[in-house]
Amino acid sequence: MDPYRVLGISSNATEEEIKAAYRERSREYLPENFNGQMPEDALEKMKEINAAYDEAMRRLKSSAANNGAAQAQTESAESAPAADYLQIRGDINNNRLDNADAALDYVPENQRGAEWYFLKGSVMYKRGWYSEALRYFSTAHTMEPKNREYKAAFDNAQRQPNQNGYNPYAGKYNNGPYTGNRNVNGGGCSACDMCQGLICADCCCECMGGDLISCC
Amino acid sequence: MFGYIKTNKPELLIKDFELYRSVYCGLCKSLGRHYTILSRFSLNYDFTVFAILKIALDENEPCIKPGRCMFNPLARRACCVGNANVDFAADALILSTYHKLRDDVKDSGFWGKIGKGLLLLPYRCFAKKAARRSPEAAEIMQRYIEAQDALEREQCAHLDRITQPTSQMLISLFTLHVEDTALREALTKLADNLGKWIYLIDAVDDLQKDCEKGEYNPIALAYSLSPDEPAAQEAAVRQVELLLNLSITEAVRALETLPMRRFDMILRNILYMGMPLVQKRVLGKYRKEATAES
Repeated sequence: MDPYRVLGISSNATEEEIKAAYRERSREYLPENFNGQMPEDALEKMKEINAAYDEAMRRLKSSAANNGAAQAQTESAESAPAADYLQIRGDINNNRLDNADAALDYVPENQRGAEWYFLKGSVMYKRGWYSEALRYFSTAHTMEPKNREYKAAFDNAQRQPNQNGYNPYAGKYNNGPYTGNRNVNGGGCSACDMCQGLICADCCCECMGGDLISCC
Repeated sequence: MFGYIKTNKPELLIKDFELYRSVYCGLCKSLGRHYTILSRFSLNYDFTVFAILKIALDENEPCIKPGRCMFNPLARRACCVGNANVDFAADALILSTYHKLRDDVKDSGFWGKIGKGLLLLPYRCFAKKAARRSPEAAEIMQRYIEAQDALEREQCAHLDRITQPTSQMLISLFTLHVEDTALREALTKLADNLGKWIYLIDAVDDLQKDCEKGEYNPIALAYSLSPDEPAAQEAAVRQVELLLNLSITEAVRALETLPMRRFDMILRNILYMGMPLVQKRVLGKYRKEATAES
């Protein structure tokens, strides 16, 4: 399968062009266009487009990495590790922790930036070494406080368990007698409603020349 | 390190509580049958939970029958009898109690040595029998308790390293005779996090006592605490709380991936509510003191 042909773009398209083409093509296959019922071939087509998009992005990234590496080689040997972090992230995501850890340790100490601390923290977290992980995450966060990824990792490590108030019985007893703040009136008639009703009735009576509540 | 893994009883449904108690009673009966009545006094909740987890994953339906309790003969209670998982939990319980007793004898004074030494004698026999019945469990406990002792002797101040033996011990016990790879992985993660939590909560619980007596405590060493600084203690406990929270979060995540056939609500109750409750109680000890003195 040629991803560029599926998306209808040239093989040297930029990231923006790939994304735009993907959006354009996938719009034709939204469930709304089929009254919510996607026919088989449409589903197939959608899968093909998704695969083509992934493949095109992968090729783009790898060529960028190659270019970057080549550039780094021509410029100087020192700024090489930036491309390695991508590989390390892949290793961490696929649970190849030893590989990732070895690669991280290989980075010389004076070149360890916030991302290094973040990745090292991720490795430690996956290994279950939480106190180390916390230390690395907080270092990454202090080095680059504005980075959302590092901040999320740091915040996640500090959260309370079950903060969303997980209740294993939720959904079973929601309408039962033990739920905390139910509407006491049960949607029925309150004292306020009664007064309102009386005043209304009084108004109607007065229109017809009678009187229900003599004082008003 | 006993007594931290508990249910949050008020939040447990009555049917779940009955099931929980049936395993508790079954464990007690199993102890009585295999290790005489004396061993029944070492019954605890932690190994009940261990048995419950094993039964929850077991393909065979447990046999729960009404029975009578020797210590409360008027009440007829549901009781989980003749279950291999419960028997295994009983063996593990005896072995761990024996190791704990031995440790206590070593640490106590002259009179304590005599008193606990007397208690140790029958337990030595029980432990021998337990080792005969479950040689793997005996071997696992022996190995990791030695590793723990070695780390404590070298005054380990690394909170991740010091929890390793407990975690490893639980991992080995949980995954014993489990063949399925996915299940092994989930159990490993659960046991790892439970082990960390148990070791750390025990260390927090003993922190003050250890600080006063000048005994080994990993938290005191990791944050270089001294006994006359309650504020520093509180700050350290706050840091450890993060680790405890992470352990519970990850343990809960692992629990949800387990293919539980039964008892799932009991296990959820323990992890989602029981452990946080115990943690709150233990940590609260330090909060209150700090606020009362300031």
